[in-house]
Amino acid sequence: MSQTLETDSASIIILGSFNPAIFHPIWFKTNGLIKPDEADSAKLEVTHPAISIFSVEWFRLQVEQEKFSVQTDDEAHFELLSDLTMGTFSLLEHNPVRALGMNRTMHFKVDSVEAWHAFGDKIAPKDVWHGIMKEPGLLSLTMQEPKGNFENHIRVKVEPSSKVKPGILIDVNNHFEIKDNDVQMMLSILKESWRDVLAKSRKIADYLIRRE
Amino acid sequence: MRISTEHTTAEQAREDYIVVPNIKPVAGERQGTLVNDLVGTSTELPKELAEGSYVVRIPSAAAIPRHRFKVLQKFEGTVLEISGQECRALIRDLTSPGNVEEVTLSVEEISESDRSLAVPGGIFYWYIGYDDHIGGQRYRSSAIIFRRFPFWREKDLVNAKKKASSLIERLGWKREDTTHQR
Repeated sequence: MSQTLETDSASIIILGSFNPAIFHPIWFKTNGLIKPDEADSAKLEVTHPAISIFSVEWFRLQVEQEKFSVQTDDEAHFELLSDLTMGTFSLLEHNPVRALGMNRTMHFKVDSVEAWHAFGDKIAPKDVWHGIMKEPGLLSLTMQEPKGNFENHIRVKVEPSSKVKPGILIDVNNHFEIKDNDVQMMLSILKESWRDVLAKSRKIADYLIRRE
Repeated sequence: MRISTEHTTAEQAREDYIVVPNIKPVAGERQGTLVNDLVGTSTELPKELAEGSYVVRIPSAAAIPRHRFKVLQKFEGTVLEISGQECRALIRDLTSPGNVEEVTLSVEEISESDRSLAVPGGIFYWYIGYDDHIGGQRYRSSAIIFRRFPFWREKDLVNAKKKASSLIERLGWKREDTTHQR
């Protein structure tokens, strides 16, 4: 099976307690976290005490009262995504946070529908299903590996791609629980793990996609 | 509502939305109703929200970008000196860790908006790769992007100084020249 990586995104999701209204392009510009021209040309979707959403050329940010999410589809900005998040929470150093997710989402295009089915059969054998279903097909499969303890984990999800057809989505979630709502601990995990996590996520995807 | 640190896929985006009855709509005071036909693959603000509905969407997946930068090689650099139109820097290969070399770049390579950050000690990423466009064109491309990080705060400097002192003590070194210490 030949496959091509069509889209490759990285995202950082933080759970905690946030004040969405402050997450505005002007705030990021004032604090030197984004370029002035990026702030001026930001696409502001909504700013509200319950939710804020805006995007600039290379990232999209969405903050709700319990969830901070920032995502980029540009591999040349993966490192910068971590800088942006670390800069943000260095300034919001007393903001309670309870979990950190570092994610890589990859959509691979495969060369034929047959190869696409073969991949699904390989990763989720249908033998057991044929006894009860006529044409079982894989819609979603999630595999989890505990990391260090059962609170932290790597979760790998495989699904048909919604972006490329025929294609495969491989999404890797690296989840860390943050004790005592400690922002410094979260920053330290992000700083030390981001590159490794992205590299390992890609390694997992490459390993899976090459199964035949 | 699911709440996790996983990235929300297009499929989930269609399913995961919350209804917040006490939100005053941004775009007006119109009373909204629950809708369940949000298009998860769109990056556009849902029409219902733009028009003032009470429905708030959890992230949708972004559309396929019009171009994609495929990184072939990446470096992390530290500016050593800016002299006229030249920038001397030390670069560390992040693709094959271990290689460090000194390079001289033209200041012209640095975007206007990043030039204020191009000072000795400034840190940047240098990417070399292909810029693939949706129409199939491929351009060889290079990008220099400076890191933006909040300024060092006094307590960070104090902590760093403490760590350095502790390390010096453990190594048994003597501090002779203190003229450059803060």
